[in-house]
Amino acid sequence: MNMEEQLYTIEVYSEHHVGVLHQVAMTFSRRCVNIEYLEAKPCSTAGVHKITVVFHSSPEIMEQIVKQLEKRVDILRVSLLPNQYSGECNVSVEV
Amino acid sequence: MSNKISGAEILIKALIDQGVDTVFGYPGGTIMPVYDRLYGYADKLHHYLARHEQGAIHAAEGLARATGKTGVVFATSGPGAMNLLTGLNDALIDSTPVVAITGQVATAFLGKDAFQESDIVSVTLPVTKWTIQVRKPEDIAPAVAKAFYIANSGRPGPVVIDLTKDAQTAMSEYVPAVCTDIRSYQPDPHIQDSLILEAAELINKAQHPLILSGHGIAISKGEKELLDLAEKASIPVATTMLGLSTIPSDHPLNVGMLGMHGNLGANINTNKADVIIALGMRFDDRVTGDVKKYAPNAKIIHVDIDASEFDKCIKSHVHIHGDVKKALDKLLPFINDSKHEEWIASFAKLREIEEEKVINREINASTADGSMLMGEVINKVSLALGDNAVLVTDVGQNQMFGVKYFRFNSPLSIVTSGGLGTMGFGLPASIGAKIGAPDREVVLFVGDGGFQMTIEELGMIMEYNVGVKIVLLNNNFLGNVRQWQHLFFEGRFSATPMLNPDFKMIGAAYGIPAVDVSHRDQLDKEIEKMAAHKGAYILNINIDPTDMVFPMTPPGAGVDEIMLSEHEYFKAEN
Repeated sequence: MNMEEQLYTIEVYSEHHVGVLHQVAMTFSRRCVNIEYLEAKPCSTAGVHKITVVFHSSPEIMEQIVKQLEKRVDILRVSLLPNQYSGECNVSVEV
Repeated sequence: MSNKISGAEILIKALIDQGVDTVFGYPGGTIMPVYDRLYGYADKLHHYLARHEQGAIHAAEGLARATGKTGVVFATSGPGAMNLLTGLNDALIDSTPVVAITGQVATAFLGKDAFQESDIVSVTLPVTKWTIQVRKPEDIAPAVAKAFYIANSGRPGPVVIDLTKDAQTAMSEYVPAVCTDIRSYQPDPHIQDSLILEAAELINKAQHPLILSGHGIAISKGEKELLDLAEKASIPVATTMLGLSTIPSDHPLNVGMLGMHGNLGANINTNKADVIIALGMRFDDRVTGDVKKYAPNAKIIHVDIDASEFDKCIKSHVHIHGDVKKALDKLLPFINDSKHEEWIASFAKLREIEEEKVINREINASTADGSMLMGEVINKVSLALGDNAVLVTDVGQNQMFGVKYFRFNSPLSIVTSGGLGTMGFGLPASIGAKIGAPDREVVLFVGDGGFQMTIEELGMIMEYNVGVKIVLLNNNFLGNVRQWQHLFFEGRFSATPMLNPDFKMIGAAYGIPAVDVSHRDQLDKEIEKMAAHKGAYILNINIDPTDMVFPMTPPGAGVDEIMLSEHEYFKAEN
């Protein structure tokens, strides 16, 4: 981890379709970010899964990863959890 | 009596209900049931047999780019589907609506390395907007409806439907499906009024405003709104390559193309602008040069339907997320009448310099052996073919000269591979463009390298009498790489000289009139004959291999560090 990078946790809410996890993972690998921890589980809304991803990156890369995830058709929304670092949460997401 | 039909026939009916009348494709084992049913629908759904699946998908792209409709392509599983990958990636990065139907092995064989089985879903996920595998016939109609909705809404792009063989042969009732809403997908974001007001204030106060018009204007059909804004506030308009036909070439506010081989004024004055209005463009690295030196004096208003483009390459100040035509409709009432006469005159001065040092030398060329320069050829062909022609190019010098020396007068007049820069795109794309827009003249400029990458598609021209005018800019080199080797690699022409076949014989073999133009003295007459001929035509033009595209922003330079020729950099006078 270089000096600019921080640890982030995001929650990705997606349709529970085959291949969506792959789309999440490839958004990280394309930006050369290694995933530290990933968990996928159903949430209470029918057909919706929550994928939690923990990773190190710079703030700029994190913002771009969030936007590129939200762009995917099968991804409902992405939330940044602020409790992994102190600092501003500049990412706004639409529900 | 049962109303059940096979999944293959459901697919055909669903495509017809989506308004599809043209498909490019190539049959094979796992898509045979579809082709069998297609046979009985030939009057409603016209299939054009390409000679390679890559040709089929580029043809579908060409049709989409020339008409705005969704291009459709069929391929079989395994190698057939894999041959679509380049075209899918090309369509994704250039926002082209394409739906690809790939055959797939039967469900029981999936994951067992079956004959002609490839994991198409995994392989296409990075290069499509959306991919779905369908294994049951009752899922076909909803998948088709969803695919077409996704492909041609928001930022358009390619979608793959991977259809297993058992889904094609199993029986079900056809229940027409419609898709107008997907809960996880918002293709038409609401545009915030506060941001519109912020943008209007910046524009009204600007002394040196500049509009950058991109492909998004063409996709949203916002050409009129673009001119309304430019004319009301007297703002010069520069365009990206894919935005070139969003404003007529001879409009007084058109200051030319941006980027590495763009026009002098557009690039130099980007770095003098105080407000930049970026409409449906994404600040691609070909446009920006070194981002650290880009637009240092400007507040940037970025309007785009894809929010992931904001701050991706260049930091901007106002992000208007939405359809660019709708954003302009909201913005126009708040824009004041303005004049920027001195600013506009500065572009004209730069244009004069470019004309003297680059353009006039290129179009009024004279070479000892009569070999021609690309700019002079393209200039003459453009004049001969008239105002409504569609320009198609391949990739390389043919492309750069083509887009700079061609005259645009109507929307949807440029079909070229921008973001991916796919050599071999031109020939099949020109075929798709002509099939999609049969009443327009379609001209292709292509180099000897790119022509041979998909030359097999001359078979489509022959079989379906597709009247594309092909201008082969033949310098016996991979020209663009040769230019870089000359300028930056001390003339080490590694793997760029090419021995070429007799293209006139190849044309004749396909029944296409083909003429060698070896000397400048023949050029006018041969262009006239090509223009007058009804149907496909090939001009094989003998191009001077030392011809190079200028102006040029060398790699690593800022947009205002421009070479006017091999030995001369542009220097501002004061």
